[in-house]
Amino acid sequence: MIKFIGANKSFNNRLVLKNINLEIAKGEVIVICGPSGAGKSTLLRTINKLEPIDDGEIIVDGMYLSDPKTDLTALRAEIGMVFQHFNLYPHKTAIKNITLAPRKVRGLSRKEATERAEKLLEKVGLLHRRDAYPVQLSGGEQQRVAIARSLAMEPKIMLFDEPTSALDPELINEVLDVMVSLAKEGMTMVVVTHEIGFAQKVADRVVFMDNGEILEIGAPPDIFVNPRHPRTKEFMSSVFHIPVFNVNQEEDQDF
Amino acid sequence: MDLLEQFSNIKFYLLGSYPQGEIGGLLLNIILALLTICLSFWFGVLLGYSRLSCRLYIKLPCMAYIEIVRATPLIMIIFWVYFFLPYIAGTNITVFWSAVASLCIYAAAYQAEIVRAGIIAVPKGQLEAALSTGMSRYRAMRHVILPQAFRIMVPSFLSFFVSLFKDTSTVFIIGVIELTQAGIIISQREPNKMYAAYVCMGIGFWIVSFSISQLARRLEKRIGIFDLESYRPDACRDEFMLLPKKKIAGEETPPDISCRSADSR
Amino acid sequence: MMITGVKVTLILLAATTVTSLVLGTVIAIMRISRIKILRVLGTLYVEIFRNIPGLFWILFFYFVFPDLLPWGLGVKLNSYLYYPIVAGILGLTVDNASYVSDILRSGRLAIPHGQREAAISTGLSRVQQYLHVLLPQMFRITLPPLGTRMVHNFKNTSLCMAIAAPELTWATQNIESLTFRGIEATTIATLFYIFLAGIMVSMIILLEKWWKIDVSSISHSKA
Repeated sequence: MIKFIGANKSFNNRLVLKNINLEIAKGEVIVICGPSGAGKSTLLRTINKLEPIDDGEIIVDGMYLSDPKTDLTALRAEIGMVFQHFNLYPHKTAIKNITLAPRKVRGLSRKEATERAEKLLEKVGLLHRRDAYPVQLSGGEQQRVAIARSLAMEPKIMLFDEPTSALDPELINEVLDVMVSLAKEGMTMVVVTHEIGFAQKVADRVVFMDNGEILEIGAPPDIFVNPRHPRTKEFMSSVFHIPVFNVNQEEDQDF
Repeated sequence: MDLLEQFSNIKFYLLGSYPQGEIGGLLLNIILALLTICLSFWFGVLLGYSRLSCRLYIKLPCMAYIEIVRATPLIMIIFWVYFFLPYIAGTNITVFWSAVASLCIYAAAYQAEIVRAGIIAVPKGQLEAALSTGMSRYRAMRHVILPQAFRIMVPSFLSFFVSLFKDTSTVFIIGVIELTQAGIIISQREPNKMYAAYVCMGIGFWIVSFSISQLARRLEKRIGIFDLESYRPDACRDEFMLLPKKKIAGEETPPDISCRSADSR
Repeated sequence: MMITGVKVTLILLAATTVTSLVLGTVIAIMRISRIKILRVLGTLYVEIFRNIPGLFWILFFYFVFPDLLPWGLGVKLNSYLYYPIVAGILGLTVDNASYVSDILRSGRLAIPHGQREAAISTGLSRVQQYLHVLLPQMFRITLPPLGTRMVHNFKNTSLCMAIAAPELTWATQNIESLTFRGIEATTIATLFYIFLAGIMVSMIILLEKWWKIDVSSISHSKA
């Protein structure tokens, strides 16, 4: 589904991505973790070419990103992206945020788009907030609307760029729950996150990055419990001093 | 058509009929603008400061003056001063001074708003700190708040000065022979020189106000300790550009100096 | 005569508000576009028109502009009864648009980067990004300075008296010279200007309340 071949990217003469080779299969859930400044977000953002790479190649769903003939708008419509800071359109209600792209890009009628949006809002548990403006929503609710907005385009791939790191701790679970159920439905997902619990529960593979390089790829237990690379070991030991988020606790955080 | 002949009136555009007669042309625009800004500045400070007063009988008249003047076209003010001031006051003043007077009335209201915005923009803690060291309210204003406020005001003053300079063209209506009037006179007297007249007018105004705004831009960079852009009357009002009120976890928010906005209306 | 004056002033106000908003938006988009030549042209426009008084542009469109037109179009224009009004609209528009574009541009700079990224990532085209995401926010963010500008523009309509467009200020002058009842006419006119400016300001405040975006809801992504 997604294939990186020797991708390099530098920024201000500093390599932020070094020789990235990675293949992600359809339906796979990949978690990217690593210290801040490791290039995780950059890697994620190259997938829909929000950041272009300098050399190498990325193939997404059979399309070559470096090929100038690739229709980027069409490609991006197939890739959903969820941002750290939600980036909801502040001048539109939740439902309008969701219906905008389906109506304008996919050409759906207002009725079809609204129906689809309502289904998605129900799925993220926010149907009762359909006419609220982003200001009136909590961070967790905003992020769930943002996820619904991406899903409304019926994407083949979902990218999550630290979706919970701007949230207050008590609001994180409601967002993770939505992501877990999405993963269980078989969505191809690439997630940059520090939520180890989430990774352990749903990730097929975990990618550990530092200094723009992929240091280790493996199943969650391998990376988290028995890391091989010394940098990974160091990182994991520092991370696990923090109490780990409990995935088994299915809380309903709605209010 | 001889190009030189076309622009033979250049001296008239620049200086009017000076040395033989009165000063006019572009020079007069500059004189008017400078004189007005110097005179109205003090009124502006007084008005702007008084508008912040907590005593209603000081605050309300100032507010009324500022709002009324700001809602009246400059031309109307010029007419009031030129036609009716002598009528009411019973004295005659020259066209030049009536132009200066009306520009001052106009400019004072705008300067007052700039001053008010500047004072409001100084963080409240400054006043509290000054008062806690035992300064009187007047001293605190004079030595702590106003020096800071003026620094914040500089860009607004400069951009207002540019706009005031352009507004000096309006006084042509009562027959002051500044650049616009000079251009109109020439183009009526010698219709074949109309293009030249308009070119001279345009370029004359452009050069002066462009240089002032360039100067302003440079000055702004030099004293750019505050987020000066947000205090300019034409720029975005800062309350809409505030940093997020809720601190985003893990993101350093710079101290918001610009947080107390001036309601510039 | 006063009634006609009020009518003409209102026409000038309505027409220039609309045209200068449209022209200003176009110039603002040019100035933030990726294409260098558009950026340069937009900046050139603003630098030229902002630094020359609006009065000059009004005179220019009345006296010089018809002369520059080919095929005797100018003669037709000059004989057109309402040409002073048209020239006034043109002059006020080009002047006001330069300010509008400057204000809108600063509004664009105030929109967090993430908004466009979100729009891109859902597959909106460039035009759609502007139409549905960026422009609506630009107008909302810049409403207060934009409103102040429009009130200023309203006051500038009085400059059109210089070319004998029969608007309110011109009407009062006419009354003064015909009947010597200048004080009454000028008082009424001044009150009218203050009244209408007040209405404009309250309309803007209402609109602001109606539209208010709390910026704290927009994320400030630095990426």
